[in-house]
This record gives sequence, C-alpha cells and structure tokens, in this order.
Amino acid sequence: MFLFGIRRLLTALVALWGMATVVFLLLRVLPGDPAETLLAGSGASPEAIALTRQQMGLDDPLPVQYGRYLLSTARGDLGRSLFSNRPVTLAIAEQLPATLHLAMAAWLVMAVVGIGLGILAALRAGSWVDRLTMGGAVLGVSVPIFWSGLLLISIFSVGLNWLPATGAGSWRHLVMPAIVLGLVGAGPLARLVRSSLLDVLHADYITVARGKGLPSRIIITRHAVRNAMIPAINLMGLQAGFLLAGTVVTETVFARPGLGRVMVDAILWKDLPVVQGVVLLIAATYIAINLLVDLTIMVIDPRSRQT
Amino acid sequence: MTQSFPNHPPAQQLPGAATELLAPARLQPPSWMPQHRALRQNPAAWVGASILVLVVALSLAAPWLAGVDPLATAPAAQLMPPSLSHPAGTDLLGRDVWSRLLWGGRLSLGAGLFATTLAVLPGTLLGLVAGYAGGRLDMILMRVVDVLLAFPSLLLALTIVALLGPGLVSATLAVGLAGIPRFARVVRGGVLAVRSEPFVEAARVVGCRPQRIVLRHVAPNVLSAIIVLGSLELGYALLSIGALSFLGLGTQPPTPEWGIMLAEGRLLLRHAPWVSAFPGLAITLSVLAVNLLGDALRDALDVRTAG
Repeated sequence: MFLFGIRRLLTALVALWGMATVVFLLLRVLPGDPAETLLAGSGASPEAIALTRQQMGLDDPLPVQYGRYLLSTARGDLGRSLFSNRPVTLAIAEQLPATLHLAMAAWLVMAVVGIGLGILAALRAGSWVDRLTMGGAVLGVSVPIFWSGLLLISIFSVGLNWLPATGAGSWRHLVMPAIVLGLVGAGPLARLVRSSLLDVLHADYITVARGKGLPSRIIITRHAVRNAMIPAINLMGLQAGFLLAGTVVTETVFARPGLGRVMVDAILWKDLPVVQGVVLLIAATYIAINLLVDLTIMVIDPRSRQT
Repeated sequence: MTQSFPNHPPAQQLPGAATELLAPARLQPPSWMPQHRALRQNPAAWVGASILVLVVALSLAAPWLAGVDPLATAPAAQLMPPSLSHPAGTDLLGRDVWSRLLWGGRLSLGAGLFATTLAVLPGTLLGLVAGYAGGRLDMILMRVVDVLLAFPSLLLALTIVALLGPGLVSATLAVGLAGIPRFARVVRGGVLAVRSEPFVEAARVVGCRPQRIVLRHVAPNVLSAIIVLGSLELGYALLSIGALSFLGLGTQPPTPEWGIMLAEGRLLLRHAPWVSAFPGLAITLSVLAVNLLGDALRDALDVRTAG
C-alpha cells in the first residue's frame, strides 16, 4: 500500500513536469514577441526592444530558457506581468480565494445533487422520478453556464430581488454561481451513481444480505451505496478540473472577481506570463486533486492497492 | 487500395469453413448496423434528431427567412420587444434579433461542426497509428496524449486562444485541437481491442499491407465509438465556442453568433431580456438535441464512452 502510494505520487510529479513542459512549449511557439508586446505603443526604438529582449532572456537558446523556466517555476516564481510588472504569484494570490470559494461551493452542490439524485433514481429505477432525474441530467449538461447564470439573475435578482446579481463577499453572492456551475457537473455524476448503484444492487452479496434478512435500509447504506461510491469519487476528482476551468466563465457571468477575470484579461492583452501562471496553477491543482482522490480510493477500497 | 489485389478476395470473404474461424466479425454487417431498430424505437433519438434538423434547416434558410440584414442598425428601433415585424425583438443597436439568430446559427453550428471534425480526424488517425504500430511510437504518442488530457479541456482551449489571439477562427481551432487527445485515446483503446483478433491476423497472413489492414479491417470496428464520441464532442464544441465568444475571446462584434449575442444581452437583462433569451435557447436546444442523439447512439451501438 505504501509502495503504491509512492508510485502514485511519482506519477503525479511526472504529470506536473509534463504539464509545465507543454505550457512552456505552447507559449514559446507564439509568433509574437513578448518584448515588443511589452513596449508596444511606448514608441520604443528597435535598440530598446532588443535590449529588453536580452534582459528578458529571450535571446538565449530554447533549452536554456526551458531550464531556467523549470527552475524558477519549481521555486514558485512565475515571472512578472508584462503590463503591471507585478509578480504573477502576487496577482494570482490576490484573486485565488474568490475562485476557490466558488469552485468548492460548486463542488459541494455537484456532490450533494449528483449523488442524492443518482441514489434516488437507482432506488426508483424505471419510475417517473428516475426518468425525470435522467432527463434533467441531459438538460443539465446541455445548458450553457453563460445562459443558465443569466436566467437565474433574471429570476432571483431582477425579478424577486432575493440575491445580488454580481460581485463577491458574502455567501449570498455565492449561491447562484455555485448552483449554476455545480449543476453542470451534477448531471454526469447522477448518471454514474445511478448506473453503478444498479450494478451493485444486482450483485451476489446484496442477495446474500437480503437472504440474511437484513433490513433494506442497512443493505442500501452499508453495502450498496458504499461500493457504488468508488467510481463516483473518481468522477468527482475528474470533474474538479472541469469546475476549476468553469469558474472562468461563471465569474464573467456574475462579474465576480477571481482568477477567471485575470485569465481573460491576460489573454486579451497578451500578457503571457499571467496566462501561463493561471494555467499552471489550475492544472497543478487538478493533478493534486486527482492524486488525493486516488489515495482516498486506495484507503477505502483494498482492491485498488493490488494494481 | 482495392486495386492492389485485383484477383485476390479480401481475407474476410474467403470461402469455406476456415472463414468462420478467421473472420466472424466481418461476416456480419458492420457492428453499427444491426442496432438501427433500437435507435428508431428510442423516443429521445427522435426528439434530438427533429430538433437538430429544425435548427440546421432554419440556419441554412437564413437568407430567405431572416428578412432583414443582421447587421443593419436602426437607432429608431432600439430594444423593441418581440412583435410581428421583429419576431424576436431588436437589440441595443436596433438590429433584428431573429435575423441575427438565423445568421448566427450558421456560424455557431458551422464552427462547432468544424471544431469537431478537427478533433475527430487527427485524433482518429493518431489513435489508429499508435494502436496498430504499438511499441515505442505508441508509448511516446500516448505519453503526450496523457499529459494533454491532464489539462481541463476548456483550459487547454483558453491557452491556445491566448496563443492565436481572440477571434472565431482561433476559438474554433482551439476547441478542435483541445479535443484531439480524447479521440486519440479512445480510438487507440478500440484498436488494441481488435488488433489481435483472428480476422486482423488473417488479413496480415494473406499479405495485406498495414494501411489496408488499418483502414479496411481495424477502422470499421472502432467506427461506432467514433460516431458516439463525435456526436457528444459536437455538443461540447458548441458550448465551448459559445463560452469563448461570450468571454470576448471568440467572435468579435458586429458579427452575429449565439455566444456573443448572449454577451451583448447580458447587460440588458432588466430592460430587454429577449436579446439574451433567444440565443441562449438556441444554443441549449442545439446542444440538447446533439446530446440526446449521442446518448441514443451510445445505447444503440453499446459503446462505453467513459474511460
């Protein structure tokens, strides 16, 4: 078990390195010149641009740049914004809490709604509850966040005036964004929980438990749901990446401060160090979450340790 | 390909008992044919197909049905609610929302279709090559694919847009490119499942060239997986391109496209909800149709898309 954990940790580190490399390669094949972008509009002479290029280390061979990039990234130094000249880590650290609040609240909505409806649909398989839930799941993944968000704003802010339409700061600001983002993830989760619970309910050990005369409630909570949860936990880890990326859109819809706004502005202004920083952070968080998920499954499911 | 063996019957049509042993899979119609009945009897498939046909037909008929130029502004007709002369109302510049909706459909659906093709073709090719060639090539390709899959898909698309600069073309390219690794993974998995089947070995034994084996014997057997995954990818592409346009990173004004129409209607929720409601409905219906069809295909063709 210990060995498995170590091996999984190493895989995560390799994934991190691969991810950092992809980001580096992607952003270095860019046709533009960061030095020119930096000095654009300032009327800088070609000499000044060349000097800046040299200072930014853009004249060095690619492998040298790559090595320097890996070292500084590993130290947590993500460079400076081309526009504000502030360290990227600082810009990210300021906006990170708002985004994390949103992502965590959305994850909670996804987990509660997805697992709850999935279990309900499986226990009432074939009934109208089941059909309604599964229909809702398809609808949930088909509605764009940028429209469902506007719909909620129309109803609960413009119409009923219950919740603030935009901004951040209190839990009231978090309700609509978390629901909008979380419900998209809840659809696939509900489907998976339903199908894996249905599989489990037909397993031999459930028949044995019934044969022993155990009450249904105990069979479902102790035996069936526990085993059906393993694929669900896996999916919830994978969905975390989707939720993190989805915050970009959600934050724009609700005009919330956060990494999403930072990212979109950076793309519009071609502020590549900031784009790179946000992408690295989100992707690294995603890898870390899935490492946690695998380790959790390892603890609760002895079978997974053998592979 | 066929001309290279003019007098040589394809392996799967060799007469005699040996054929039964060697080529059971190809004696029957391709694996995606016989389940047509299951598809025809699925009401969700019918609903999906009908909506899709309707949306596509309306968009194609834009020149005849739109009536007004989608770009023509009319200061006197700002923010008019839906009426006989403007079935979907007008926007802030007095442009006819109905006309923009129809013309926008061409761009939105076209871009989605193009992005999907961009993901399917190279992804399938990579998957076929990696799966059939095996060995070191397979290992290298799949390592790269795994690293790319470690990025949430929307994040990868955002990074590519950062590289290419905002615009509908780059948003489409970004969403398409970001989908390639998914197809490469799934197709490779399918190839691995059939590459050691007797009918593939038989084709190899009778001297078929690798290209012919891959295209004629292996590819048809992963076709159903590609069809299912491709239809779900189309829904995803429509949502992602819409999201990028909504963020201001895709279509630029004044071009009509559903995502940017929603963005333009975002600030008019209180006074002119129709400006955002109709494009939102259009995206949702299109994606819902594609997803219903994709789910029905998955059930009919018995394809597992997870994993």
